[in-house]
Amino acid sequence: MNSNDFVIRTEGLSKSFGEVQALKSLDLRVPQRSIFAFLGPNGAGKTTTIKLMLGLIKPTSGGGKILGMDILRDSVDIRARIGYLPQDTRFYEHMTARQTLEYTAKFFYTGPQAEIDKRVNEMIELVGLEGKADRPVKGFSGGERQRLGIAQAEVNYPDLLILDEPAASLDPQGRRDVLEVMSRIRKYATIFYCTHILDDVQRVSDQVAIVNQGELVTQASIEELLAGTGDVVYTVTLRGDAQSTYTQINQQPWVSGIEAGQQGDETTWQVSVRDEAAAKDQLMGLLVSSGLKVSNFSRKGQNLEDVFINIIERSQK
Amino acid sequence: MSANASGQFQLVKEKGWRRGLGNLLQGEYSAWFKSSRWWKHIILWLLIINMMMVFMIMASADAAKGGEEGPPVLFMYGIFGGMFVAFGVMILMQRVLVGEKRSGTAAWVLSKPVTRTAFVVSRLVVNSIAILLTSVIVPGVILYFTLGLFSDIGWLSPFGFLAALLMVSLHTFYWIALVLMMGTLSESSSVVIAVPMALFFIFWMGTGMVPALIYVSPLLLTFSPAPDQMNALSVSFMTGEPVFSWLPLISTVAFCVIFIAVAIRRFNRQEF
Repeated sequence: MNSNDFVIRTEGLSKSFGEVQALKSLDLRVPQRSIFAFLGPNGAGKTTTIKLMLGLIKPTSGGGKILGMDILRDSVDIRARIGYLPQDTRFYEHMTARQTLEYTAKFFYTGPQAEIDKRVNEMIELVGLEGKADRPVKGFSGGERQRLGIAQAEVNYPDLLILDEPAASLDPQGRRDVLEVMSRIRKYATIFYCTHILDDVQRVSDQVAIVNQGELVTQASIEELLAGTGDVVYTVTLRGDAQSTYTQINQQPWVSGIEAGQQGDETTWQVSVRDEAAAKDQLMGLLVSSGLKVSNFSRKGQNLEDVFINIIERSQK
Repeated sequence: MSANASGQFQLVKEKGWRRGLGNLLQGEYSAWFKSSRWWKHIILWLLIINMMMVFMIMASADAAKGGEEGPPVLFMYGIFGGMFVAFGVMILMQRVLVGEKRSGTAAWVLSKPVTRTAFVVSRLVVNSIAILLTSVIVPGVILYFTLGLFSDIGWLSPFGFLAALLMVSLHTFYWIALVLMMGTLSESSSVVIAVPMALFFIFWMGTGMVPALIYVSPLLLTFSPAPDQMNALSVSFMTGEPVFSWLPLISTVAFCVIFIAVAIRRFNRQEF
C-alpha cells in the first residue's frame, strides 16, 4: 500500500504525563475509506492518541501525518478537514441543538446562510433530533447529547471522522442508527473510532488496532484477527461410552486439549486443535468409527470479544 | 473536504492566529447580547453604582443645607465604579477560561479549526466590551446627567468626564486581563479569584507602608488610597485639577499588555 493511501500515519508517537507513559512509540496506519476501530481497555491510551492527532495535547516524542499534513505544524488545517466526537460530549448549555450545529458549521463555512441552514437541518434529521432542535442543550439527556455530538462531527463533510465512544449513552436503537450512519459515511470518509462495544466493531469495522498500556499490541483486518488467534475449537456432543475415544482423540498430534462436560446421557467436548486441516480430515472420522452417536458437531465461531481478551491477556504476560 | 460538500459553501478565509476568530467572537457576542444577560447586568450595576451615587448626592445636599461638609461625591464614584466593579469583574471573569477548561467546552471548540490565540482574544474582547458597556459606560453616562441635573456639582466638562470614564474603563480592563491571565495559569476558580483580590487589597492597604505601590497599581486611575494626599486620575479629569502622576496610567497599560501576552502564551502551551 502506498504511503499516501493512509489517512492516519503515526511514527513513534509517544506521550508522557509526568512519570506516566501514556503512549509508547505508536506506529499506526489507517487506510483510506476504512472503518478503523481503535480498541483497548480503559487507560490504554486511546483518547490520548486522539487528542495528539487533534493537537489538543503535544507529543513527548514522535509525530505523524493526518491527511498528509503534519500533526504538529498543520494542526488547524487538519482540524478543518475532520469531524470529532469527544468521549464526554460537552456543549454550551445555553445554545439550542440548532444553534450548536450552526456555531460548529461556521467554523468551516461563512455562507451562504441558506446552505448552512440546510446542512444543519440535514444533520438534525440524520440523528433524529427534529423534535428537540430548538431546545437548549442543558435539558438534553446523555443519549441526545451523544446524537448532537455525532451531528456536529459530520456537519462539515469531514474526510476523516474521529469518534471517541460514539455509541456510549445510546439505547439499542440509537446504537443501530450510529452504525448505519457510519456505514453510510464510509463511502466518502474514513472513520477512526474507539469503543468498548465489540459487537459493533465486528459488525461494521474492517480494520482493528488494539492498544494496551500505551503500546500497540496488534493491527489487522477483522478477518485476520478472527482467523489468526491460536487454536480452533470444535464442539462435539455425543452419546455412549466415550472414554476410550476421548483418550484416542486427545493423543492426536493436532489436538491441543479437550474440555469435557456431561449433561444427562450426553457428553460435550470442546476439542481445541492446532492444525485445522488435520482436524477437518480426521476428527469426524474418528468419532464415527468409534461407534458413538454424534448429535452435534460444529466449529466454534470466534468472536472479537474472545480475541480481544486473549490479546490483552497475552500482552500483559 | 470531501466531495459531498459540492463546493456550494463559502469557506472561512481567516488565516494565521485569526483562524476561527470571527465565529468565536460571534458566539461570545450571542452569549452576552442575544440573551437576557446584558440587561440584567445593566440593572445590577445601575443599582450598585447609580443608586448609591443618588444617595451620595442626597447626603451631600442635606449636609450642605446644614452647613456641613457632605461625602465627596466624585471620590465615591471611584469607590463604586472602580472598587466594586473590580470585584464584580473578578467574580464574573473567574469562570471564563477555567469554567470552559473544566467543563470540556474549550476542548470541544479547540477541536475545530480555531487557534488558541483566537480563543483567548475572543473571550477577552467580548467580555471586555460587555463588562465595560454594562458596568462603566451606561452607569457612567447616566451618572453624568444625574450630576448635572440633580447635584450641586453641576454640569462637568464632557471631555473631562469622558477622560474620567476612560480611566475607569482602563482600571476595569486591568482586572479583566489579570483574571483572564490567572485563568490560564490555574485550573482552580478559587485561585483565579483569590490572587487578584489579594493583589487589590495589597495595592489598597499597602500604599501606606510602600508608597511606591501607588505607581505600579491601577487603583489611582479611579480612586485614591490616600485621598488626603492625592486625587485619583478620574477625579482630576472631572474637576480639571492637575494630575498627581501619569505613572499609574503608564504602568496599568503596560501590565495589561503583559497579562494578555502571558495569557496567550500560556494558553497556547496548555493541554486539553
